[in-house]
Amino acid sequence: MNYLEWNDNIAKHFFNEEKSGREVPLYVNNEIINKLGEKTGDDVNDFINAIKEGPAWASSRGICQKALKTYENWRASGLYYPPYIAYLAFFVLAGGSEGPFAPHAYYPRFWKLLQEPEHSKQPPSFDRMIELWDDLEKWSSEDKREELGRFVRRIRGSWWKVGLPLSQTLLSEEERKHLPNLFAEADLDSTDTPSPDIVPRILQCYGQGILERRTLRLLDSKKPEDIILKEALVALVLDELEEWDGTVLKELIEKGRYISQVQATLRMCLHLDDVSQVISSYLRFKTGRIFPEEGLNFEENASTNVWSCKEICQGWSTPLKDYQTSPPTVLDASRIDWNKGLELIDNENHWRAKIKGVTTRLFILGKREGLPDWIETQRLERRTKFIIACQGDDIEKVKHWGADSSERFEKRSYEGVPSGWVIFYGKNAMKSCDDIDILSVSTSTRLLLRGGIKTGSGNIYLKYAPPKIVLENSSGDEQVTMNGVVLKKLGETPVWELPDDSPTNETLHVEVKTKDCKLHRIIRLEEPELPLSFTEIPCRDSNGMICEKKGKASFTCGASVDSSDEGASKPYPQKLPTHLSSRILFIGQRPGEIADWPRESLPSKWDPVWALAKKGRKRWEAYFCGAPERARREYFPGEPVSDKAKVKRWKEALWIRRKVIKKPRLEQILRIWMKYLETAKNV
Amino acid sequence: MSEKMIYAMSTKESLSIDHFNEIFRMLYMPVNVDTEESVYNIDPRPYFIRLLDSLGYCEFDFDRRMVHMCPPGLALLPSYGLPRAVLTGMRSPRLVRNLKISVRKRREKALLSFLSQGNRVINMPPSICIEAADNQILQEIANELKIDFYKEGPASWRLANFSSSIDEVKRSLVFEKRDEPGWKRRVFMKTMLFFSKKEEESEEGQTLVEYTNPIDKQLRHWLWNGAESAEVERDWGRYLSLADSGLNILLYDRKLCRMAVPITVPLPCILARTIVMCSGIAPALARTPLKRLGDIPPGCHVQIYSGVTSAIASLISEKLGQKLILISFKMIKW
Repeated sequence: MNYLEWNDNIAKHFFNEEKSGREVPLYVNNEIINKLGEKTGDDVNDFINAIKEGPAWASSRGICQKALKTYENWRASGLYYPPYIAYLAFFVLAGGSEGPFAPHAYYPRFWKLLQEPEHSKQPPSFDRMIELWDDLEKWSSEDKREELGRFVRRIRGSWWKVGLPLSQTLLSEEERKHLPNLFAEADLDSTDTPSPDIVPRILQCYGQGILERRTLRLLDSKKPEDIILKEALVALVLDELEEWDGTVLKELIEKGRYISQVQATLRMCLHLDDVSQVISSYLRFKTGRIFPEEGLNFEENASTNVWSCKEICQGWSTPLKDYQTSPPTVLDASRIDWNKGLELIDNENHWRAKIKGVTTRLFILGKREGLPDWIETQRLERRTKFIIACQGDDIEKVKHWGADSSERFEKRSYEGVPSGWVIFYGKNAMKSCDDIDILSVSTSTRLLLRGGIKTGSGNIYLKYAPPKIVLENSSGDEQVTMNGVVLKKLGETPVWELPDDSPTNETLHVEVKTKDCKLHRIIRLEEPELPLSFTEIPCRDSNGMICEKKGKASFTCGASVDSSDEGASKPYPQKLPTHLSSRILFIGQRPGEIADWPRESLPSKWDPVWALAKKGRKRWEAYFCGAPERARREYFPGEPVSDKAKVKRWKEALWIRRKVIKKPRLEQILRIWMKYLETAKNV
Repeated sequence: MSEKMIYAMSTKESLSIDHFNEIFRMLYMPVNVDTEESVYNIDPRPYFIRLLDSLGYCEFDFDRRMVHMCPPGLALLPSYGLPRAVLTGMRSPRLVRNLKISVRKRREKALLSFLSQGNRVINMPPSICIEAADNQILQEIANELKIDFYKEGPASWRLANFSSSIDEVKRSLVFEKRDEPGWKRRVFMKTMLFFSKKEEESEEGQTLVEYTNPIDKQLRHWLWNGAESAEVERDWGRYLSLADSGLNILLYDRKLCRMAVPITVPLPCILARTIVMCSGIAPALARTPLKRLGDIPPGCHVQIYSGVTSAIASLISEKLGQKLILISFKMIKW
């Protein structure tokens, strides 16, 4: 393969539709290069040679100068992928190469990979490579709108030049692929992620056999230069966790077939009755998966109960109930051993729902999710109200921690709590409880985009449904801006909305400045527009089945019917609109032409012009029911009929009742109505 | 949820069912979360899909797991007097804005109104209705907006005539002796009007059985006639089995021009569109009283459709092999 072929293969491998909206680290190692070269019989050595050769137009000597040549004005060349990606991949490959080097020694690795005399000098123009990394971020986020993934320029430690390539080695593809197993083992909930501060501990505990040694070493590291990268790794893992739909790679065997299982984490919910001082507790869960249409039916070991639920909104289930009884029985969470937890299985749909056994449980108001009561959570954020249920040794720990660390903290007495468990209420916890993971108050703020409707893949949203900007672990003093304009917070929660007049089809830079860092996301808003043309209009046959239009004599699409069949073209038999009310006065053109339906039969000898429909005790509404062509030609009411009693009734119907009749709204028809009123007045 | 859902769907000719599900999940919020259970025990997503389909917004192709948006157009309602048309198919805020401008330009001869939906389970967007002095005005408006105007007659009438009848569907079925698949099954209980797992309750006549493929969870429906069966579409299957047993379940009020259909026995696709296009709005929901009306079990949840003229009601019932149960809706305590 030549340089450009390597470049495109590498680019396509990392940036593709499967990665849409997700962060893409450019993790390159020998294995990936060899795999990409397999079809053409190329390997790492061939890749290095191609790098040294470069594309035809990059005739400079040094590697970095060649890289710069590929970068300069590349968009004008019409290439789909940035042509410098292969060089960036080389820089990452160099950072990961093995050898008798100090952990932080990058340049010797660089030269060794190039098969040139090793030394520790910086390659010429290497400091300008930051322009390429910046451009890659811009290309993925702005040009491609995250449709092929999102590259984020991160720098490892204080050595910003080498930090960039080394930052791509956060997680290998294999590690990423097996993260769901780790999540499942650790009983993590993708809809309720743990505090970033405890994620390293979780990864260390459950990462054996899944994470590479270099990753585990980074997690163990206490070096200052590794902190930024460690935080980046945690952020990446949390992003992966949030994307996880609960499917576990570990598979079950059923009747000779492999079937994946979906994992859902049950959450305890507390309903507090402050008057009677009673807590009632129940279980529900949130999932990223679509619920089966018939709902879920979980069974418990050694129990005849079947706990059923359906989706209520936005991934939340209804509380688990047994519908075999009448009325249905709610699963009373207080009867579960809160230390041991509970596991339920729906064998038919292959879902598993589990609640962990713990000695401390944390709850926040369900209002944040649009739900009632208090809902169990795995993360304690600053500036929120919370409830803690704990038992045993944890009680004293929580008591001391709460008193020291919260704006408000008190013990509460309720019935309905399992024996030995104590309830505390708190507000605005500012410090972590070192002994209890769940009471970690993270200080690292995350900038998240929640909700909104994307118009496709990537970072483009519908103007009428933009995402909300959410800060996780907000300290309360951050400033959020969009293109430099400060945004207003929505009430007390750390949520911001884009202004209604946000521009469309422009790059919007959402930035948050905290004390420690600056967070940044790019989005675009698009005015929803209809497709310019319709190439594949769907249609149905007379049975209602979807069909191809070609060769079909008759079909329907939406409300239209395209048919040569006589039946479909039968004229519609018009009838007087008796559905308008249970009492209707039909008024004809001549004074005296009146029929009070249903007391009197519908007129047959004259055509009604108006239908006065009774809408209430003293309310009527006038409908024009003459022929439309007569509405176009304005016309006068005719000569009165000879029956004076009928003429009187006609006058009463129109003139006497005029104040309780709602007039027609169409101006042309209103003009005709006014003529009738005038005639009725004078007749 | 309202228009945002339609606008989001209308940015493409087609979208995958998964994408539709994501948008729905993001936007749907039940009317009252605290009660959790819907009074009508309706699963909102499939119900919303049926409403979108019958209002002519889009076509759902479940076999290929795609949603195809219908082009925008004006469809006539069955009216007496001035012609009225509703906007069907996809739409964008720009199209709606331009429609308002176009109608305003002709304010003497055209009127725009937003018909609010009576359905409380799902927050459907209001239907956009134009009343005009004559069809020519509607055609002018459609031309200006570069959309279709289906002027050949009321859409509901044309759809009703276009639809197959139950006899035509019956003739197209291929009955043969076959073994039941060993899949999860449910039987359509004609007296209760829903599918049930209970095996011991058997009813006479043709039986509609639903089978669930354990791998892809797709449903298949077989109509059993003794030892033979034929694969059939679910909605038609229900009406075939009811017609076979002579059971009638469509309530009709001639005076008010309203029809009630049990929610568990929705009309087949084309006829569902027919009945909704009588008024252009989604049906209201109600419950029948605690006594049997026709062959409808007591306390049955029904959908009530308005503007169903007697000609269309007769045609619908004929196509389904049903005899209309004539009642006065006002006399019923829903």
